[in-house]
Amino acid sequence: MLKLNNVNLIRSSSYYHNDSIKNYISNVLTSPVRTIVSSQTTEFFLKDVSLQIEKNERVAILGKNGSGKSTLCRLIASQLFPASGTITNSFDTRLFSQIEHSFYGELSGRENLNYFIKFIYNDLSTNDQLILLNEAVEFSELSSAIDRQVETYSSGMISRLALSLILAKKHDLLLLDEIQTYSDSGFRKKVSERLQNIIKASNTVVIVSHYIDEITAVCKRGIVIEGGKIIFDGNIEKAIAGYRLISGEINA
Amino acid sequence: MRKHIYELLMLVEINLKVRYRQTAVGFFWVILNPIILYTVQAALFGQILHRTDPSYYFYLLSGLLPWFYLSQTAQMGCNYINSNANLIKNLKIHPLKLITGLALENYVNLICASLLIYFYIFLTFPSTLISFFIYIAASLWLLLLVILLTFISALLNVLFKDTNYILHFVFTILYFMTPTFFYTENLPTRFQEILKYNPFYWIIGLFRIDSLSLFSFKLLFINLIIMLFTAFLAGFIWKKYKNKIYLKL
Repeated sequence: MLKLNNVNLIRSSSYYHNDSIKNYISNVLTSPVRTIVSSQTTEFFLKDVSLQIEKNERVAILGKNGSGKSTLCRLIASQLFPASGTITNSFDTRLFSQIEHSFYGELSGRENLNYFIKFIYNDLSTNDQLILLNEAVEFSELSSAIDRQVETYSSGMISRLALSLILAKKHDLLLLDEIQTYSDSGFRKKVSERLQNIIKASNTVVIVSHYIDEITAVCKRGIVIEGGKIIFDGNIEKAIAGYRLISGEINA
Repeated sequence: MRKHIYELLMLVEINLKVRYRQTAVGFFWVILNPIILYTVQAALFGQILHRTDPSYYFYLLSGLLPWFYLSQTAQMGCNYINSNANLIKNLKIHPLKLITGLALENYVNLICASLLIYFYIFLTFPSTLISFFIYIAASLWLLLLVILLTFISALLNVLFKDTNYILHFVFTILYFMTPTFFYTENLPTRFQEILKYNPFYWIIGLFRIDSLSLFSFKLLFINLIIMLFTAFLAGFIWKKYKNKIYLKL
């Protein structure tokens, strides 16, 4: 079970200021008291977030860009730590976020897959990792390009590589943060089928996506975030309607 | 523990592959690079300082190569956490592990280059083997320090975008304040005293325990203090700013 109880994630006013040593020294020299002594105001990344996700649930997180969706995912994946509130997570959690930007351009697609599988699926035996690698290579449909350096790939090809890696194995709690970028419609259909199979096999899934069709096919529950606050948590159809309303797709 | 070592070795392997593929002659260039720098500086400073005796070549080896290793790793690693943010997020790699991988990779290069140069010196001017064992022991101590220093520089670079620029500036000054290619005893007494405020003076001193008879409890004690302080600073920055650093990635 995953439980977030009144979780707050804050940033101080210095988050965007004093971001260079020269600026900081200059501020200290020109107004030392204000720079060092003055109290800093705080802003909320996430405010009073409470939610509970049970085993086998498929949940979609919806919201405009910058609303706090990815931050919430990283908080669940223990990459960020709340300023207040509690998080209880009994799942073995795996977050995938912009994985297409993680690959080493100097290595081939096959080498990248090989290393990433060894890192992500390190609980598997070498033989099982090899099986997974071959499956991922086949799924990516990159044929001979798989042995070319990734820096020669197009965005679509990198996306295929990323998706073949993500969809290689089921997970206990799978967090997918906007993974469907750049893939062409033919491959996207294949990905959707595989994604649904992986989601069915995985225990619990949380998806952040702007693709409504993909979400409705998989999730029954939707959470809508606006300005770091959960403004709706419930039925997916209502969540999508709420999301469309705040994102301006439909008028109130 | 086994998992951490396995991941660390994999990071070193990836770094070595990535680095060597970027160069025309691969592995040899990475080894040749410090050797060429060493040869040029040995020839140049040997003439300028009128030191062409064998002991100077070893003196230079024990100063220049550790210095290159330290300054290059700290500067290379400065943007390492930023540029590998997605790896940290997706593969759950701790930033310190990532930095350790880089420091280890450069350490392999340091040892390979040092072995080649030492072998040449040893064949040309027979010297004591003990000095090389001291060199290896000191280099392991340096490895630990380089990991911590690089970690600090990389963390600061996430918090302050101009850290790399400042670091480069500081290392340029410290290069001339660290006895890598010159002998401190040739400097005026006042300068000798000033140099002692530079921590790298003491760190490089470890490599010369034998050749300059610098072996003393003072040297070891100061090195221990430097290491403890660096570890404390790294731990403090990480603990205090961990969330801010992750948020900025």
